[in-house]
Amino acid sequence: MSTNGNGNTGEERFLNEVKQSLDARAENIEEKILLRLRKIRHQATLEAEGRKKGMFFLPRWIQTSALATVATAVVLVVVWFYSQRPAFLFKNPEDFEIVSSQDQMELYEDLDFYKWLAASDSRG
Amino acid sequence: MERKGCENLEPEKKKALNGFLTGIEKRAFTMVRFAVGNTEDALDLMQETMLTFVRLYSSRPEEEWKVLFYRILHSRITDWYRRAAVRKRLQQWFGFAKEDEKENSPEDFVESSQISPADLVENKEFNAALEKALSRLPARQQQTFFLRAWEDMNTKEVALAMKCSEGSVKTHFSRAVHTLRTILEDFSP
Repeated sequence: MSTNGNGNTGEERFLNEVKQSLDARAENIEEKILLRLRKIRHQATLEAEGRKKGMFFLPRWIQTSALATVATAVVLVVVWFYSQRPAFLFKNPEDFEIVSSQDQMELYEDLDFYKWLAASDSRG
Repeated sequence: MERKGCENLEPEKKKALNGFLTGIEKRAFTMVRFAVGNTEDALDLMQETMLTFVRLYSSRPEEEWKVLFYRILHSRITDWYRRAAVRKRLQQWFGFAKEDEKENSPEDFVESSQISPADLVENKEFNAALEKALSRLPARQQQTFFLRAWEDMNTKEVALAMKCSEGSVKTHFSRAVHTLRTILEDFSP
C-alpha cells in the first residue's frame, strides 16, 4: 500500500485505496444504526407521499420567519398605540391652569346658573 | 388511459426515491459522522437532510438528486458547526465548559469507534490511520474530499453542493489530498 507514487498515477492509486477503505467502513456500519437509517428513510418516503396530498407546505424557516414577523408587528403596534396617547390630558398650559384651580372650576360650573338667573331677572 | 399512466408513474418515482436514499445513506452517514464526531448528531442530521430533500426536491429530475441531497447535507453540517461554536462560546462565558466536550471531537470518534470487520483483515492499520487523518482535516476540505474522491462528483457538482466556487473546490481538494498523502506517507502494507 504505497503512497509514495509520483504524479497522477500515485495519486489515483492513493485515492483508490482511500475509496476502498471508506467503502469497507460504510458497508460495516453497526446493525442498530442501519435500522435507524432505514426508519428515517421510511419516514422520508412517507413524507414525500404526504406532501403530495397536502395543499401547502411551508418550510420550517418560513414558519419561523412568519412567527418573528408577527411578533415584531405586534410590538410595533403596541409601541405605536402608546406613542399616540397624550402625555398630559391638556396640551394647552392654560387649560391645565383652569382645571387645576378648584375655585375657578366651581365658577365655570355655576356659569350656566348665573346666565339663567340674569335672563330671569331681565324678564322679570 | 391517461389516469392509469399517472398511477403507474407514482410508484416508479417512489421506488426511485427509495432506491436513491438506500444507495446514498451509508456513505452520507459515514461522512456526517466524520464531520460531527458522534453517532446521535449524525443520525439527526441525516433525518433532517432526508426529510428536507423529499419535501423540496423529490419532484426534481433524478440526475440532480445527488447534488441536491449533498447540498442540504452540507448546509446541515455547517449549521451544526455554528451551533456547536455558539454553545461552546456560551459555556466559556458562563464558565461551565464541560470536561466531556471532547466527546464530540472527530478524533475521539475515531478513537472510540468500533473496529469494523474490514479493519480486522488486511489494511487494518492503514484504515485506522486514514480515519484519523480524515478526522483531522478542516471541515470544508474533508467534505470536498469525500464528495470528490468517494462520491465521484465532478468539481462543478461539488461546488453546487457546497455553495462555493469551482476554484475553492479545487483548492480544498488539492490541500486535502496533499495533507492525507503526507500523513499516510509512511504507510506500507
